[in-house]
Amino acid sequence: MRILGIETSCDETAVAVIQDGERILSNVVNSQIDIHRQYGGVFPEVAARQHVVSIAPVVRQALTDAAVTLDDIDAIAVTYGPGLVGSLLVGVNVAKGIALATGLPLVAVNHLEGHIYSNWARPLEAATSWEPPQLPALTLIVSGGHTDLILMREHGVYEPLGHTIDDAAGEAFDKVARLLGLGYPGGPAIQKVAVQGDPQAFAFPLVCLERFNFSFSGLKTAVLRQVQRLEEVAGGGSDPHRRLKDYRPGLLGRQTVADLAASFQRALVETLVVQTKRAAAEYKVAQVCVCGGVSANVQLRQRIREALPLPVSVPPLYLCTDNAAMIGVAGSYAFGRGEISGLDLDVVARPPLPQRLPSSGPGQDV
Amino acid sequence: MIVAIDTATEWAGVALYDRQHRIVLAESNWRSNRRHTVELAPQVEAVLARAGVTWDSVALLAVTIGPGSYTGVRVGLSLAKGIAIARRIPIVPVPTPDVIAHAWRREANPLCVILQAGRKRVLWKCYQGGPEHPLGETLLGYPADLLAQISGRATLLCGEIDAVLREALLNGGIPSLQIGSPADCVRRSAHLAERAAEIAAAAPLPLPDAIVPLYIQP
Repeated sequence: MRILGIETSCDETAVAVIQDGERILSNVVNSQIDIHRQYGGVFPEVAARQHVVSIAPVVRQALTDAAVTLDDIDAIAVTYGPGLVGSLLVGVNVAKGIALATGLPLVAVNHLEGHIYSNWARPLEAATSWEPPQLPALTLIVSGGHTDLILMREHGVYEPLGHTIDDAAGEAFDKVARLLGLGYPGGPAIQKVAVQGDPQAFAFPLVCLERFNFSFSGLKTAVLRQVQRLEEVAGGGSDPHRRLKDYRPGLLGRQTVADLAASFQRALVETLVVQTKRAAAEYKVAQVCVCGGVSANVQLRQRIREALPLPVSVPPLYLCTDNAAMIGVAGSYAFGRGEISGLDLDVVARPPLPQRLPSSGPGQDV
Repeated sequence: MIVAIDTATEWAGVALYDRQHRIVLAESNWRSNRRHTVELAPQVEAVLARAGVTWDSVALLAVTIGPGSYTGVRVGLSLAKGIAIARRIPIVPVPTPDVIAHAWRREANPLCVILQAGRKRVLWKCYQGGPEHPLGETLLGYPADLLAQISGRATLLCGEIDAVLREALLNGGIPSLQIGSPADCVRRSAHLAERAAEIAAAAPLPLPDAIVPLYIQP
C-alpha cells in the first residue's frame, strides 16, 4: 500500500510517498523560512501565496523521488487542520484535484496526529532491526502552536493528559529569541547561542502545574524581567512597563545573552521532562514518543532520553519539523481503518485530535 | 473538452464545454459565499457525471485567476493544479473580469466589469469589444472613483453589482449609464470555457506550475 501525503498547514510545502504505513519512499519539503524570516514569524498571506507556487513541483518531485506514478498510489492523505486556513486550503484542494481526477480515495489527516505518527515512520537511516514504538505510549507534542501530553493505548485513540495553558514551547522559544535579539525561528537560534552559555547562570522558574499541564508564559516573563534588571545594571535604564513585543535588544553582552539563552532553554526543557516523566510513571506506559518542531532541540532530545527510565522515541530531525511523511504515515493508519473523506472535506483552523472510540479487540494494523 | 472552474469571488461556477463540437454540455453557477473548498470539487464531479463525461475526454482546464477573493482564487487554482498533475493537461488562466467581457463582446458601447473588493471598494476593468480590447488596467477604488472615470460616457456596467452599489451608481448623476440586470451580471463558467478555448487556439499555454493568481494589491 502506498500513500501520497500532502502537508501545507503552515509555511512548509511538503509531499511524501509512504509505503506500507512506515517506509518513506520520498519526503520533499519546500521550506519558506527564508521568506518569513524578515517578518519575524510566518506571514499567513505570504505563506498561502507561496504554497500555490510550490505545490505542483513538490508533488511531482515526491513522485519522482519515490520512483512511482499516481498509478502506484492507493490513497491521497492531506492535512485539513490545525493550521493557517489559507495555507491548508492549497494542499486540500490540490489533494482533491488529484483524487477527483484519478478516483483515488482522499484521507483527511489532523496535523497533530501527523506529528504523533512521525514516530511510526521508519527513519531512512534506521537499521533493519527498527521497530515501531510500543503501545501504550505517551506522546509529548512540542511545536510552535502546541505543547500536549497524549496517552495512546491503541492506534488512533488519543487521551489528552495535559496541555499548555498559555504559550506553547515553540512560541516561548520564538518570543524569548526576539527578546534576546536572536532572530527567527527562535528554537534553532536559542539553541545555537546557548551552546556558549551557562545553563545555571540564571535560576528561571520550572512551572509544573497540576495534572500534566504546562505554562511557559511565566518563564518568558522571568527572562524579560531578568533582561530589564541586567540593562539597569549596565546603565542603559529600562522601562519596566515595556512589553516584550516592543523590546529592542542591544545593551547586553554576548556572553550574557548566551547565559540567558542557556538558562531559559534548560528551564523549558526540564519542565517538559519533569511533566512527561510524571505522566509516564502514572500511566505505566511502555514507551514515550516526542514529536513536533521543538523535538528537534538537542537538549530536549538528550535530557528526555537520560531522564526517563523507559524507551524514548524521538524522530530524526527531518521528521520533527513539518513534513508530509508523517501525514502519509498517519494517513496510512486512517486508510487502514477505512477512514475515507468526501470531496466536500473542509479545512479547519483548530480541530481537536480525532475522537475515536477504543476498540475492544487488539489494535489495528496497517 | 474543457472543464472550466471559477471560484474567484463569492460567485462560483463549473462548466463542461465540448470545443470540437462547440457545445456546452453542462454548467453550474451558484453563490458559494465562502464555501468554495467544500462545494467546488463535488460540483466538478457532478457536472462531469451529469454529462456522462470522464476525465479521459478532458483535454484542458480553464480557471479564473483573479482579481477577486484571494482565498477563492487559490481554491480554484489549487484544485485545477491537482487535476492538471493527475491528468497531465494544461490550464488556461483567465483574468476574472475577462469572463464577463467575453459574454458582452458584441456590445457596442464601452463595458465596465465590476468586482467587489471589500470595505466598500470595487475593482473595475473597462473594455470595448471583448476581453482582447481593454480600455485600461484593472483599477481599485470607491464607486465614486468609478463614476468619475466613466465621466458621462455611455457605458454598460456589469459584474458584481449588489443592491447598495446599484443604488449608488444610479444616483451617480450619469444618465447615459446602463447597468446590467442581475441576470446580465452573472459571471458564467460557460463563458470562461469559451474564452479559454479562444486563448488556447491563439497562443501556446503557460506550464501549469507557472500559473499564479493575479493579485491586484501586493
